[in-house]
Amino acid sequence: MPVTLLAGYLGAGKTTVVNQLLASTERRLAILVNDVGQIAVDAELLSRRTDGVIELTNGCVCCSLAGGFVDALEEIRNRPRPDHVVIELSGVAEPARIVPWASTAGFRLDGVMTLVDVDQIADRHGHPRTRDTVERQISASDVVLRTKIDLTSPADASAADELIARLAPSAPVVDVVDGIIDEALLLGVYRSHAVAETAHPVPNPHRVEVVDRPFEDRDGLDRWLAQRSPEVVRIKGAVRCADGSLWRVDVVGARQRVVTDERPESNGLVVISVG
Amino acid sequence: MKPFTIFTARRVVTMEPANPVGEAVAVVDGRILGVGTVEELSRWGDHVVDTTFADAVIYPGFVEAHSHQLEGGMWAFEYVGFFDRRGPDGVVRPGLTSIDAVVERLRDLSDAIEDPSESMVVWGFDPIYLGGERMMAHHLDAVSEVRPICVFHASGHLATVNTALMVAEGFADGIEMEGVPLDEGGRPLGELQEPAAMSLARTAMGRIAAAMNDPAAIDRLGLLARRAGCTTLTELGAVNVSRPDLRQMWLDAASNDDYPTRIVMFHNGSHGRYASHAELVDAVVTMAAESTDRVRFGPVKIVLDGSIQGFTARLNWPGYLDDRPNGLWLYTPESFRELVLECHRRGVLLHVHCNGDEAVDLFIEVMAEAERLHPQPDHRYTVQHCQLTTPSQYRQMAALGMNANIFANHIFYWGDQHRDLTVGPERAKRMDACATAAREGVRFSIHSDASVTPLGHLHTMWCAVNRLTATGHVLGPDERISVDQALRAVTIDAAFQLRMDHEIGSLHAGKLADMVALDADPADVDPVTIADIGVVGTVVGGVVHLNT
Repeated sequence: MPVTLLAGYLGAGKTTVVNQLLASTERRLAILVNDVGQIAVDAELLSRRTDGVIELTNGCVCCSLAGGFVDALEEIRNRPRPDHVVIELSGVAEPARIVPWASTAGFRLDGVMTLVDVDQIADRHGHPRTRDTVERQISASDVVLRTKIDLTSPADASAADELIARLAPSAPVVDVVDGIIDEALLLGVYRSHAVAETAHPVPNPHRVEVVDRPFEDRDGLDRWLAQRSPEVVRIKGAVRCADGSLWRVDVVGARQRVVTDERPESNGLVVISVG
Repeated sequence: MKPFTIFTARRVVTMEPANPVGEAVAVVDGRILGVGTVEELSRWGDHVVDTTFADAVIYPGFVEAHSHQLEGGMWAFEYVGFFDRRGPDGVVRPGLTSIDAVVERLRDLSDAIEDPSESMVVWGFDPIYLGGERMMAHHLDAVSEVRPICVFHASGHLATVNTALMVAEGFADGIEMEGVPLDEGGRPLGELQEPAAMSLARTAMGRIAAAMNDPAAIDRLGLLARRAGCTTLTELGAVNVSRPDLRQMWLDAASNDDYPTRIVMFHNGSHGRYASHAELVDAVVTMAAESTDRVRFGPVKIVLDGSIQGFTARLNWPGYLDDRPNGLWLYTPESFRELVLECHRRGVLLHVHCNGDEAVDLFIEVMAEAERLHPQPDHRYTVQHCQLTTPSQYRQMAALGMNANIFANHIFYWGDQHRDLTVGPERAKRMDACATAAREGVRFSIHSDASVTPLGHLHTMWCAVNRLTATGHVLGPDERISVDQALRAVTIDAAFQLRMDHEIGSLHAGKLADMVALDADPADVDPVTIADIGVVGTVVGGVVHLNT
């Protein structure tokens, strides 16, 4: 089961993104939330799209052995299999510490999406108490989701961009307004989505292309991946190289996974880019 | 007066200055009728004299204001740690001071289990004291090649498993995962680092989790309390009391008169799903109404940061000794502020885990605001652990009416590591600064954080009074406190921070008959031998519990 981590400081807009996702998705989701007192996930949406929100408890095993991820992930394993697991991290959670959970039995990490409230980030980053936390959140991100861009002065926005560029230089940046982000960007292409070489003007302008170019070998594939534009949010698919090797490619922003593909079919790579 | 019981003793110490000692204590209906001479107490009328404790010294029962039910849960399994530790059965497990000794002990334990394929879980192993030698699968394979074995480390952040376990869980041939070191052939070495990797030992971790919420854990906890002389324990937010089924389990298991301790169950501010902090506090207020005489609900606990030895506590400058990054917030500072203000406004008792001084700063800052908004002069909000709190922080805490519960046991168990590895000698000397708290007017208790260190207030007093590390160094002699200060800390001042000092923590007419009988008076012995004093038994609500 693919696992997407939604990170970002308190107030960055994670819950709004989850609500919007629930309102529009066709996927069956398992949602894990971590911030008590901040739950605003729409109950009706939840019952329609999931088997309910699963509570995660803060802290480490020394404080609460029975709580937390072991139980939450076990609960998901015991339910009808969801298409995707979304973990809404607490406002101070450091994604790098949560990432290992996404590769425990039955799960694989899709990506770390860190929401950055461009209106607020300067204050958070300016305060010694929270500076390192927001830095760790941003630098661990595979994709940065900018929020509240419509509420922000150009000067604050550009200061936020500088910070993002410094901390997460290889993460593509996607704008989210009112919690709306195209699902293909957030969770990847779903089986029922038409994959067409089209431009998507709303809500997040992005392009979907199918790349079916020949690669010599794994090195050639790696070179091509290394040269990808910072606007590439996702690449997914399988390629057959000229030397006969088959590879499955899964790119989520700065994160890239290439593994040998046992299955013979090769249908090219779906590339989703913003900008 | 209806017929009552007079317990005679070598001496009864009340912790009440107006009537500090007596020769006997009279008890009726679970409460204290009085402390004095047998002749004085006899004037109340019909009575029996109980001489069970005639040779012992009676004190108010010890109050452990920071413990966890894990102490009862973990004893479902055997202990293999470095230090001697007494189990709920009263038997002391001798400390195992090398990996070979652990392996030898595991062989004995394994031989005692008939079914060769039944899994075995042990706990308390701590390589920090073994000079850096690490335990790997091959050590445990020497115990058994068929029995899955999981050694759960004392830190809670590591486990070592044998090949049989990895085969059973399907990762013996290799796995690509953070926290699972591999040999040159790509096979796991048997060390599982951090909880995500540890969860690979699914059956073993499942057994541990199940043991935690098993009523048997509550029974074991009661036995441990009796042996430690604790007549009130706390469950500081490890049990998810937002779950009605778990509350009921505790009420069922610990509300009867035969259970040998009272227990105060804190609601962890990270547990449960609430739409707002106001709703969380509503739930806590509702829970409090379910309290019985023995099992109390109502206070809230928040964990703000991690631990110093885990390098996850939030430290002010200059931070950790090796310049590593600062630790973690485990509760968002802005949410913390909201929850503190809500608890304070509603008069709900709050204890906050702050190991590092940056976490203490945040708590103080929010308390100052809370006091401005909703002045409440007798809140008794408490900094739990309070390990690196500075003198100026103690002065602010005193001004704001805050209490401290200081993790005195750390000096013995990790004092050497704090001096050499985490914060360096200067700050290590003033860690767990009981004398500074006393000097600056902060009322404080001291604690074990059981099961992090063993439950036992005589040992915890010994730590605060002597400040001896595991290697025998006195760490920060100027922060040592007197035996009398330590006795207050584990009795009346611990009761105070639980808002229970009108019921427990000292002995006078009207209070609950909760007492501990010791085979020597801590005030008489050489302070370096306080930990060796024996607990003869306890009295909880007038019911005698003997350690035989």
